[in-house]
Amino acid sequence: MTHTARLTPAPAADRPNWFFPTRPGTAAYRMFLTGTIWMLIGMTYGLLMALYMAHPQVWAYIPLDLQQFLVWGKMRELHVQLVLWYWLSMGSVAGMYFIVPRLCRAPLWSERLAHASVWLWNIAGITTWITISLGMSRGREYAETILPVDVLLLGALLCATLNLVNTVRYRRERPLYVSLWYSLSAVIALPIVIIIGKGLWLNPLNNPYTGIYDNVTNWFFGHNILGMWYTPVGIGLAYFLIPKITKRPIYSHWLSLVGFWTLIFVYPPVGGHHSVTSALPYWLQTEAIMFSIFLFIPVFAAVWNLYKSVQPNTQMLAQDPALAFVVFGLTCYLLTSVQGSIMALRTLNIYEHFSQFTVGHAMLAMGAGFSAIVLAAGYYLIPRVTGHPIYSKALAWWHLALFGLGWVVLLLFLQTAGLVQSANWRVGGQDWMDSTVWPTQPLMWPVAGGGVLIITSHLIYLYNIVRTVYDRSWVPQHAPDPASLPGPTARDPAPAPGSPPAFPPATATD
Amino acid sequence: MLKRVFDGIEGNTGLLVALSLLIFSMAILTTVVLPYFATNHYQPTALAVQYTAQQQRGRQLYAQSGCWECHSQNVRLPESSIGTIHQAGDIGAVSHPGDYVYQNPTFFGQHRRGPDLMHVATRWPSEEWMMIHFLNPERLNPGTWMPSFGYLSEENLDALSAYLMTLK
Repeated sequence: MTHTARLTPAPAADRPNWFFPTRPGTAAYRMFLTGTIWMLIGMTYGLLMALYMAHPQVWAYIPLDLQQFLVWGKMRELHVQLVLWYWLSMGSVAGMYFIVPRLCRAPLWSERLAHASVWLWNIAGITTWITISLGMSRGREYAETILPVDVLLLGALLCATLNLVNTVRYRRERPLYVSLWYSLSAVIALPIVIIIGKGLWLNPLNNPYTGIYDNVTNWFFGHNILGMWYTPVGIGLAYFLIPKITKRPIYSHWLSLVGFWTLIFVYPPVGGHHSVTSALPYWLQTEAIMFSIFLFIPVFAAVWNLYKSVQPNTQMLAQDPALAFVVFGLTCYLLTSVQGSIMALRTLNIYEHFSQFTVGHAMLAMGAGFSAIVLAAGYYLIPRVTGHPIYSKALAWWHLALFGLGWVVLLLFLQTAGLVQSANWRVGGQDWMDSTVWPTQPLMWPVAGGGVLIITSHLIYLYNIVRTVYDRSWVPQHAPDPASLPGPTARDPAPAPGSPPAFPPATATD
Repeated sequence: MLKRVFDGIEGNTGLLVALSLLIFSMAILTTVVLPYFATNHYQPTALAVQYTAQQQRGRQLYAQSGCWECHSQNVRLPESSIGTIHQAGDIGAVSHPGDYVYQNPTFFGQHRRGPDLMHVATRWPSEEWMMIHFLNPERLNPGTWMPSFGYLSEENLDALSAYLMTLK
């Protein structure tokens, strides 16, 4: 007679909630990976656009029913919206979900709320994709999305804002590192920018602004999502990544403060430089141009500070792909900022505005600059969240090489095409097709080629990351360095001293 | 002294956020609030149109089909005599704030992959030309970037033409 039959069954272990896991870091990780999928979708639209501009006749082979979803205007709206709001924003928020708890020496205020923001963000992305494909657009650049998307996106964003602000409020590290300043200002300013810029408080269903005031608010929105969101988050991430990777403090704390305060003072009023020499009030244009030139101060302060922080460890640029990505991104940020400030001047703006030069400028900032910084954050955070070392450093180098080469080729030819258009337009007297369309079409083939390189690099990257995440080969060899793992929480308390380490985690990837 | 002030700010999250918002609100004041009062008094010019239902529908289609992504409606001062669509200077008169009074949204545009349409009705060849150009622009301008809008119904294309006719 055994006692076995009388034993009550052991209580079933709580099944982890797959939709809203609580393991620290999982939200950052999921936000980043889903953002990567959106990046590939958005960039595929970009590639289609480049092919279209190189040889528009190919569209005749697409069935008419399908063509309506691949009309140039809709493709561009989708490309811009998906890449900005669903790749770069999600990547940036993922970066903040990772760095803010570390800089605060505290867990994220609520991992579940962070997961709610991941779900909302992705649902908003799908909604954007469907609504814009069907032609539901507000007809305002960068602010095309309609109310359901705005509600979902603001919901996701406010979840992130609440979470990050509370993480900072309940921090254990009293001094606020400069990355936290940037992150906080970004998550607080963006909802304000969206609500004012779209006039959601006046009329959520329709655009409440008429006449040229519509253009004023449109570019308050359009430029401040760059200046008050992507720039501070990207610079904040760079301020975190460079000292962490090189294991040296930043060059100058004082300079980082100068960079921060001048950025939030100088960046917000520059929206009017999108409509220079138009019917906008002259003083408003001048104000925008003036502040665009002032932008040299925060840009040079931040970039100089970060370059000088890398300088003692320049050799690491050839050793760590993540660091190389950050520095590539910073260089693109420097180039695009110098370009942008000068492009705002009336003399040059009259010349180059409306051409493909402006398109290249925007892509240099978002696609090459801040995307590279966010990708570096991904290379930094994924091994630390999952506990798996990067699958292949060689593939990471290939990613950087093809990404960098792709951007150089793409931008060189796209901006050259813009200059050709500008020069021909300036002369006048030629038919539109002769002056601006035909001469630039051959230049669009290399642009598409650059796009192929960039997308190839991201496919390599995705393969590398998927292999990293699902890699189990490391398990018997080495456990990750505990110091590099997320801190303890109430739900996942630190093991008592002396107890055996609990690695590997039961579900390392959730 | 300055260092003490900065250390005080750095240790106080609330103060930091409040100061940032204060600085940000200065931009809101000068680029959102003041322009509202500076731009709400324009008298409509002869070009400003109070749209009929059909024209309004055409405007909506203009926004939804993404026409405004490639066609600006913004003639700038320096190009008034040189800007060329077909003949020198036929881009039209310089845009005036009063032209846009009834427009919501305005289609200033940031790009010109196609020509400016601020005064497209003044160089309007014919209704038939326009229809062919909507349905198969390639036939009229080989190599053009303008896509075919053949997926729009005839009624919608009429509305679009009716709207474009208001751009004199």
